Amino acid sequence: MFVTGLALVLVWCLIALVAPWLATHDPYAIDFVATLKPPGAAHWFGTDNVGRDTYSRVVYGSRLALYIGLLGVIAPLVIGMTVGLTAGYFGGWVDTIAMRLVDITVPFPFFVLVLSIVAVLGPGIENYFIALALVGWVGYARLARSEAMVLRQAEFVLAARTMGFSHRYILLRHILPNALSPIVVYVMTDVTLVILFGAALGFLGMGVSPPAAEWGVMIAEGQSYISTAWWISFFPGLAMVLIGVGFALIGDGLARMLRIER
Amino acid sequence: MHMNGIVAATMAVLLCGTPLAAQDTLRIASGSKVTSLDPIATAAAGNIEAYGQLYTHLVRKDHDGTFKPGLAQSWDISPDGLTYTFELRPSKFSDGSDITADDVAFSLLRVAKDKSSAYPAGFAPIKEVTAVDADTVKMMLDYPSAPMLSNLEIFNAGIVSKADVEKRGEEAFTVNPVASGPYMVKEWKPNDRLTLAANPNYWREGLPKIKTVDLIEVSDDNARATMLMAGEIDVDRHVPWPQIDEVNNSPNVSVKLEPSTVLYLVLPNLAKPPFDNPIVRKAAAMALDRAAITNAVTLGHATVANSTLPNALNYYDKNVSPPAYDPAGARKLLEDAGLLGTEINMMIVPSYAQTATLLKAQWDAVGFKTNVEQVDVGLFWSNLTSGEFEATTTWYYNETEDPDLAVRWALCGTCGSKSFYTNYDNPEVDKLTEEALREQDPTKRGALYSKIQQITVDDLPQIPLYYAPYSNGYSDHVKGLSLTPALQWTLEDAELTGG
Repeated sequence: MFVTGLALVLVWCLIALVAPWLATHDPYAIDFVATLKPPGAAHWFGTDNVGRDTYSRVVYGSRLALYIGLLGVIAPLVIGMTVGLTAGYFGGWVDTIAMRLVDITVPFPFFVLVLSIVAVLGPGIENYFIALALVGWVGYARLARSEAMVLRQAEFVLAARTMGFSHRYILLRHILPNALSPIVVYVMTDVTLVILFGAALGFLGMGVSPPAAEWGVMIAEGQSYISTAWWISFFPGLAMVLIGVGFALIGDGLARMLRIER
Repeated sequence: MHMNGIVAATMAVLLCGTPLAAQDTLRIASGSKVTSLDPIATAAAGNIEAYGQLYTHLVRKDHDGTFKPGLAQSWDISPDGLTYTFELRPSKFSDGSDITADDVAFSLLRVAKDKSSAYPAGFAPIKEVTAVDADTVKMMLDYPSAPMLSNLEIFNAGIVSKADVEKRGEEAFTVNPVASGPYMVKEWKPNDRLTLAANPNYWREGLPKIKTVDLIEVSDDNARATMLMAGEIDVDRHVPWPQIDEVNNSPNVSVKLEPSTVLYLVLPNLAKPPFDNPIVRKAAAMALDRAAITNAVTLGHATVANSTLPNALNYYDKNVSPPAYDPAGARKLLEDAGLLGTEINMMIVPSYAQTATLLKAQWDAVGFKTNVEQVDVGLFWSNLTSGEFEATTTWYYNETEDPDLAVRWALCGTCGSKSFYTNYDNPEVDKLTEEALREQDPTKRGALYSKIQQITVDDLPQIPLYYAPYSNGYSDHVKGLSLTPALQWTLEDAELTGG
C-alpha cells in the first residue's frame, strides 16, 4: 500500500518536473480548427472547446496540483504545531485560550469556511492559502497539543527541565521530534484535501484563473460538454483521483508502520 | 400477463416521458428568477418575462413589425409629434374592476416619473399623461420622440390598477397583484416558481388557451437541458450552445433559435490606460479573429457582429465594419507606437472563461500581455459601474427594435450609463443621439443612426463580437410559443397539444 502510494506520488512529481518534455503540445496554444477533437493519435486525450491539447494540459496541471497541495499545508502546519505544542506543553491559560480558538473554528464545515473566506477576499490561489492558514491549523493544533500533553510528563522531558534547559530548547529538541509522526500522517491526508478543495475552487471559478492548466478549471470548462466531449473533464478528474489516492495510501501506510491509531 | 402489463406500462411511460393524463400546465424553466412583480421595480431578466404576462400594454407589435391595437383600440398622434391620444377598449382587471383611463395615466406616469422606476429612459420625453374621460388618455411630450409608440411595448409600461396600488402600496405586487394581462398570479414561491393562471377578464376573449403556466427557476444550464429531455419541463429558456445538438437529437424536443437584439462585445475602459489610447483599441480589434471566436464559442449558431448596434434593430447598418482581422498589422501598430508588451487586465465572470481564453491568446499573439481575473457577478457589476476595470467582455440586449435606447445605453456618453460604462463620450455621437430621437422621417433617422454606427466602429468604444439568437428548447407538444426579441413569451397565443 505504502509503496504503491509512494510510487504514484513520485511518478506525479516526476511528471511535474519534466512536464515540458512529456507534453506533446503547448498547453495554452489554442487551435480554432481542432476544437472538441476526441482522443486520438494527434491528441492523446482529445482537445477542449478552444482546441487545446487535454493531455498536455493534464501534464502541466500536475505542477499546479502539487504546488497547491504542498505549499497549501505549510502555513496550517506551522501555525497549528506552534499553537498546539505550546498549548499542550504549558497548559493553564495558554491552553485555555488556544483551545477556545479551536472550538470556535471547529463547528464550521471546513470547506464552507474556506469558501466564505475566499469569497470575501476574492478569487485566487493566494487567498486560498490565506483561508487555509486561517482554518486549517486547527487539526494540527489539536493533534500537536495531545502529543505535547503526553510528552511533557515523559521522564526525559522532566529530566531536561530539572537540568535547567529553556522551554524553547525542550519544545524544539524534545517535544517536537517525538510529536512529529502522527502529524506527518495527518499532513498526507491534508495534502489530498488541499489539492481537492483547490480544484473545487477552480471549478467554481474562485481559484486559479483561466486559462491556467488547472484540473478543477479544466473540469469546469468541460462541464457543458460532458455528454458530447467527455474527455475534457474526464482526464483531469482521473489525474486528480490518482494523485489523491497516492497521498492517501502513503498516509495509510505510514500510520500502519508507525502504529498510529487514527 | 401480469409481467406484460408492467412492461407495457413502463414502455408507455418511457415513450411519452410525461404523465399520461392530458396536460394543462405549461412548465417553463429559466436560469433567471422572478424577484418582483412590480413592473417598474427592476429590469432584471426573469422579472421581465413575468411582467408581460401580468400587465397588458396599450399597443402591441405584430410579427411583421407593425403596431396593432392593444388595450388602446385606436390612437392619434398630433402632427408636431407632441400629443398622443389613446382610445381605450372596454376591459376589466382580473379582480373585475374596469380598466379606465385613470389606470393608464397612473401606470405610465409611474414608469416615467416615479423615483423607484428602474428603467425610465424610454419615457423621459413624457411631460404629462391625463385622463380626458373614462376611456380617453392624452399623453403630452416635452419634445418629439420617434420611438414613443414602440417604447410603450417595453416590459415596464404594462397597465396596473391605480386603485389597488394606491390602497395597498408595496403589497399590491406581493400578494395577489391585480392583473390586466393574459395571466394572473396563482401562487408565487420566491426562489422556486411563479404559477400563473389564465385571467378570465383578459380583453382578448377566449385567450389564453393554456390555463396554467409555471415559471420555474433552475439556475444550472445543464440541469435544465436534462429536465427538458426527460420531459420534466416543457420549455427551457436558454439551451447552452454545446447542448443544442444533443437536445435536437433527443425525441420530442427541439431547440428553436429565435431572433434577438443581443450583442456580445468587449468593453474597454476608455478612462484608464491602456485603452484610453485609440491605437491600443485599434490594435486590440485588429488582433481578434472575431469570426473564429464566434464559431468556437457558439459552435456556429451566432452571427459575427459588424456594427456597434445589434443586427435585429431598425436602422442597423450592415455596411459598417470595425478594423478587419490583421494580426501582423496590429503588431506593427503596437511596435511603431512603442507599445509592445502593453498589459491588459481583463475582468470576467466565470461563465466567460472560454471567450477570455480566446481573447487572451489572440491579444498575446500580437504583443499584448493579457491577465484574466475572474470575479463573481456582484463584484463584476460594482467594478463595471464604478469604472474599476481595464477591459471586460459581456453582452446587452435592447428592449425594442428601435435603436434609440440601445444607443443611449451603449454609445452615448451623456445618457446616464457612460456608454455602457466604457466612459466613451464623443460629443458628436451625443448630439446625433438626441437628433435621431426627435427626427420623425424614417429615411433621415436611418442616416443619423448609420452615422453613429460609422463613428463608433472607428472610435471603438466597444469591440463587437457576435449577435446571438435566443436558443430556447421546446417540447414538441407546445405549439405557437416563442420568445420575442423584447424577451416576452407569446403565451397567450400558445397551446398544448397531445399529452
